[in-house]
Amino acid sequence: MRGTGARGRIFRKYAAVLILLVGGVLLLSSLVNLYFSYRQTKAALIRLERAQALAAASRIEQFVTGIERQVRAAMEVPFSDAAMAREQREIDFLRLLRDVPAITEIVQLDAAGKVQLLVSRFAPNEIGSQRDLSRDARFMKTRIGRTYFGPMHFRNESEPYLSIAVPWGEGAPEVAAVEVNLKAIGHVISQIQVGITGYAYVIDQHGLLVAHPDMSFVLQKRDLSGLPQIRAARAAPAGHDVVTETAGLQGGRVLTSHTAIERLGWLVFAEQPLAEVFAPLQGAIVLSAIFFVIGLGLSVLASVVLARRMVAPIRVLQQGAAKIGAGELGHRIDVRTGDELQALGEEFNRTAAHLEESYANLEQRVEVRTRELADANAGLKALSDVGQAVSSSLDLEKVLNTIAARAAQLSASTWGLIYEYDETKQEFHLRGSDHLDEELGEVIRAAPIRLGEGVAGKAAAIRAPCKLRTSWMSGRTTSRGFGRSLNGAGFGRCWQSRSSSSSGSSGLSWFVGKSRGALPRRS
Amino acid sequence: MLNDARAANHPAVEGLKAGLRDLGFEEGRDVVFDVKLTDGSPERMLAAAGALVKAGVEVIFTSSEAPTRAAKAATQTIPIVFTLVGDPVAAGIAKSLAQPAGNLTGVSSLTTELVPKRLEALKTLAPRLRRVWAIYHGADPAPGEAMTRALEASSRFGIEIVPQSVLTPDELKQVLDRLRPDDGLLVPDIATMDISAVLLETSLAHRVPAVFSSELWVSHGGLVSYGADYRAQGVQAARLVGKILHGARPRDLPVEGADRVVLAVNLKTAASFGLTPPRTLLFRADVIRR
Repeated sequence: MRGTGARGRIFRKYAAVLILLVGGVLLLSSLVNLYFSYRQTKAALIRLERAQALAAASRIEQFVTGIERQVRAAMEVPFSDAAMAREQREIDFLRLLRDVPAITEIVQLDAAGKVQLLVSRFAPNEIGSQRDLSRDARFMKTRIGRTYFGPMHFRNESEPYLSIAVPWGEGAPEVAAVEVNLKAIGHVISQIQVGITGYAYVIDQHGLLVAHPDMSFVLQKRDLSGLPQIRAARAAPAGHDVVTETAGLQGGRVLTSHTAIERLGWLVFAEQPLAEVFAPLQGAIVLSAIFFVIGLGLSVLASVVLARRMVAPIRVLQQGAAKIGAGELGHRIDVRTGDELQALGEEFNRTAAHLEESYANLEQRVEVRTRELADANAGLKALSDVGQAVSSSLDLEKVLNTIAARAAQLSASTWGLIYEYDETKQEFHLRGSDHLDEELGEVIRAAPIRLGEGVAGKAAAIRAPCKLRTSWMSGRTTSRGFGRSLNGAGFGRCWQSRSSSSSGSSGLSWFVGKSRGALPRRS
Repeated sequence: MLNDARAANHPAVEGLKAGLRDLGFEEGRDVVFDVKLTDGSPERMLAAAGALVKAGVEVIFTSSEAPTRAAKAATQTIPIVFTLVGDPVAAGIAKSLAQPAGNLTGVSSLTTELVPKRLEALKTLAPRLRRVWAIYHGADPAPGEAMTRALEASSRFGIEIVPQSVLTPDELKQVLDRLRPDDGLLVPDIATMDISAVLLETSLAHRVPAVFSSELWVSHGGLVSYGADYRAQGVQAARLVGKILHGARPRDLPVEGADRVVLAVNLKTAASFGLTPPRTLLFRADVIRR
């Protein structure tokens, strides 16, 4: 379970890193893309908005200039006769009222500022009333010979009006002044559409609303001088554009551009809900989202595949190491990735091979040692048996027989013989035996072994074990033949032995042999 | 709709319907009109206003002063949009034009303000005029301001203004019997007791120059009229009604002045009266009936 958990962790790590990388890059690129799109769209909209503000301003200027021109035209009278000129002028003034619904009143002042002619929609007309308007701004402000645009004022506390006074005549001593209902400018403004729901509006130099597509706003005499976009626009130096993102006239966040109408001292604002800036981006946002989701999906897939590829060999390594660790030294790790992982696997394999080898040597050595230990144990046991036999009986033959038996047993032989050496005769006489068959016993007893003769004699002479090489070994030789070869001339090989398998000094010699199979192996 | 007219096709109502149509309100789909005609009877006016309130209408549209008063008396919550009201502030209908307050807003017909212009038109058309009778219904509270203005302007035109309130048709008849040559009539902008219709009849029957406040009368033979166009007021009011239907509060909608002031002259009537309209008047006239 721990292994799976670890594997899960590394998998998750790899997958998370890959997803984070790919997903992060995708997200970042989408965001950067969107941000620049937003900037571009916004810049384009601001350009459009400014263009709309300029269009509105130029329309208003055209409107005002048109009135100015028409007023001049109405003053133009081709007659020199005063009465005819007056009548003609009255007709022209009336025509002006009929042609320009926005004009509600037109008054002609003479060089002294006295009313010569007044035609109005609301007030009774005045013909040569000589009413003194010389202290009126319309008269005074035109003394410099330039058209005067009065401040916005409200008639009946409600309808917004603008006075336009046009100086006229040689040296511009006379004045023709009109009252213009600003509802008309509201109409001009309402034709300007900014974006989808945006609009333009106009404020005067005091921050009062002059024109708005919704006439009610103007009639409410709204003072907008406190609005941030208007403060910013009024604070900006002339000709400098200010674009603001603030709360709009009707709530909500808006993007506002403005332009000035220098002649009137008015400011035209084009305002558009900020939400509209985002509208064209919606497609881009959706597209980015789709790309992001697809990219993320692909990155998840790729990360899973890649992480699996990375984790699989590690898993093989881990399992292989676990097997080797569990003692399965023959196990070999098979990783073919051609990289460090494969090298690691091979290193594991080499280590396992070394371990296996050294284990094998160890086992062999342990086997040898164990055998040696067993031999030593058997020798000790034999000695102890002999000791027991000696101590338990005074019968020499029985003791010798026991010794023969233990000797045969120790040398893993079939039988054993003990001879007594007669130094005077230089002969060996059989005194004890073990498992000696009768026939062989007779042969051996009949012919004592002489020192230096036969295998036994040779062995006694050189005091070393001898090996008898006869075909008897294969079982075809008779006991008699064997006895002869033991005693008489035979072939054999003798060698010095570390262990004392014969005891010349004691005068006793012993022999062991196998009736079947090979002679006891000499270690 | 609360109206003091006799017919449902009152120009203001027609104007409202047309205006709402232009604003995208389809009759039957978006708006339903419930027109109450009251024949100029004050009692029926109040009853009709109550009925409209009970019916739970969204907006009450009124034309002329009496229905507006009746509607105002009937409800303080349902928005009321008025038209054909000569001076809403003087009549106590609106607190001020910019901030009407309460549940009323509408279009001021400027009738009161235009009284001197009306006298001017009458005098221009009939220069021999010496005396002008300003007849109004005694129960109407509004004419006070109009009379003041008429009296102020009278000296300028060299005429004498005779303000005369009447309460019954008999009284009216008695007043009309006192008309002399070179007298004129300043016809009020109200329908109570059908004073305007009676004055029109008298004017035509006895060749008494009369000035009306609406082109409507000129089309029925009246000599001359100067005043805000009824239909245009209806169209103008439609914008206010539209805003209210979209959730605006009447108190946020300033009273608007009538956009279109019309000078109408009936040349046929002028000819029958033996009058020759001067060039300047004809030049100024928006409507000329031949």
